[in-house]
Amino acid sequence: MLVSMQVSRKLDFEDPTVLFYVRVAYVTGTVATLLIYYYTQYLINSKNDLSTLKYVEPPNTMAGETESKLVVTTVKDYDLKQLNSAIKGVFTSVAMTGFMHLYMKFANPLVLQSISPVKSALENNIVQIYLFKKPASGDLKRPFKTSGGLFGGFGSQGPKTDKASIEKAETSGAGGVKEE
Amino acid sequence: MLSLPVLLLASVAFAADVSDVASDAASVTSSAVAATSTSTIQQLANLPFWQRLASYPWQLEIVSLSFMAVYIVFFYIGSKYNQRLVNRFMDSILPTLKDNFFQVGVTTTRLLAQDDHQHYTLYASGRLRVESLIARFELQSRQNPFVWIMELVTSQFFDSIDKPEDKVTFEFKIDADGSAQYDDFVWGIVTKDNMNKYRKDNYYLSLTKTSESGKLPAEFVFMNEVPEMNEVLFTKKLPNLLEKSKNLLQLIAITDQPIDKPEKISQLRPTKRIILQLRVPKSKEEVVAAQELLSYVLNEFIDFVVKRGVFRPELTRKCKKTRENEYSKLKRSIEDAAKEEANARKLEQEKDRRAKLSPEEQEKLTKRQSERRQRRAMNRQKVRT
Repeated sequence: MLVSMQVSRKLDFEDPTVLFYVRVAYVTGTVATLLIYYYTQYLINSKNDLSTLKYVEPPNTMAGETESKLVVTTVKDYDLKQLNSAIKGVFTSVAMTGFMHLYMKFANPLVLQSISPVKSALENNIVQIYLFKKPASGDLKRPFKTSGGLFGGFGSQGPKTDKASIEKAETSGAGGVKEE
Repeated sequence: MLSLPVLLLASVAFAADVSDVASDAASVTSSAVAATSTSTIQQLANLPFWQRLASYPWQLEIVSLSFMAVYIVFFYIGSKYNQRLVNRFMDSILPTLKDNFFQVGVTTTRLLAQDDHQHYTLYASGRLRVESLIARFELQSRQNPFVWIMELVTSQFFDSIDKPEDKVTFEFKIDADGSAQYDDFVWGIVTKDNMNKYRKDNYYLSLTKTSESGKLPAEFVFMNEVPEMNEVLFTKKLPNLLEKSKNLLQLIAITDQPIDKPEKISQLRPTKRIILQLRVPKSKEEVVAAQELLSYVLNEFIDFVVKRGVFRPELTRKCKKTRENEYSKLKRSIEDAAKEEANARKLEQEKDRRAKLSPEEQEKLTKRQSERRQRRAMNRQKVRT
């Protein structure tokens, strides 16, 4: 990351050939990221692991929820959901970078964004499990721990999988709420 | 010069309703004429009628008319496709329904009630132990390609928006006589795809436990209150039927609890139902599989459940407990809401009373209240020390 920041400072973006290569690098990086993700998606679908997965999701305090709710899903659905959010992230960053580059004429993000998505794709939990065939245990045990993020540690808890909280949440009758 | 307002109006015309387009087009004609200078108006007036037509730029009319034509064609194709989907399935299950029910159809002459081009409802009644059957078809909005594409795209990006699908829900309401013969419980088989969604959408399923079983095809799970009930209710014919309709069946459930979360105590009263939810079958094999499943439910399963759905008290105790819990939870939340409302009303009244007082009296009141608050705080501190 730091290296690419330094590199991006050295580069002369006024030069059309440099700009062209930077653009090419960015597009290749993005396409490579998407390819990794979609190939993993293909792997998930072909494996079709339908064993069930239960966990208790902490309440989303931002949305004003107070009760934690149980999620019952399959390994396949869970993986696809995780992967989808990663793919969504790629598209969001493409939109952001596109705006910065095409509208505000910044070229620095292109350099950064041609490397970091590939890196985060290769570090993605799901990709690690499917592409690198790592065993789904330890840090890679589903459900994954939430990595704090922007508001890390601010009253946020990871999903719970202990038997007691699952039992409690499972028959709580939380469904069928009309949302209008 | 003219292209900008024309473009703007064209975009308005796109957004506007079909009926508005014509009037918009008319206003463009007038504004176009008004915008040109008087000399050109004179020139235009001097031209013969057909030459005037030829000199007018017709792009907007062409674009909006072709747009409308495309829209109408899509509407026609989409709604016809939806109708065909429903009709094909109905044709296959009609004999079974006619065998079982005295009256099939919303009226004596009409089979289906069409709510719009994606919602159809079937009603049947007049069978032993079944008070009524209501089947609701919910199809994709193929008749409106814009909404359809929008739904498809947004469902990819937002979890809260469901992916459009063609589904049909059969709701067999058991009559009073049949209901009295078997216990209150919730028992169901649900497909694993999106099973969390079914638990979220259906109140009765969120009272159950989800469990995998070797007896079921890998695509399904049990959602039941008491696992021991599987031995009775999971009949020998079910595995084969499930295997055949594994891409179709979304859920089959026996329930006494409502689909929507109850908000009044009266809604907690058990109303026994058997619910069968399917994806609308498309191919020939799927139609056959769906028909087989439905006729099994109608010809055997309902009567079987009514006859054999009586369990040892040890098993039903758990179900009773859940219902009592839900009752007390609901009662508490209703009471809380009432209390909150009473408090709010009191506060409002207090405010009104104060507003009527003169300024001096208001001040006195505030002073007295703040004194009282201070005294109370002091007392509390004393207690603590």
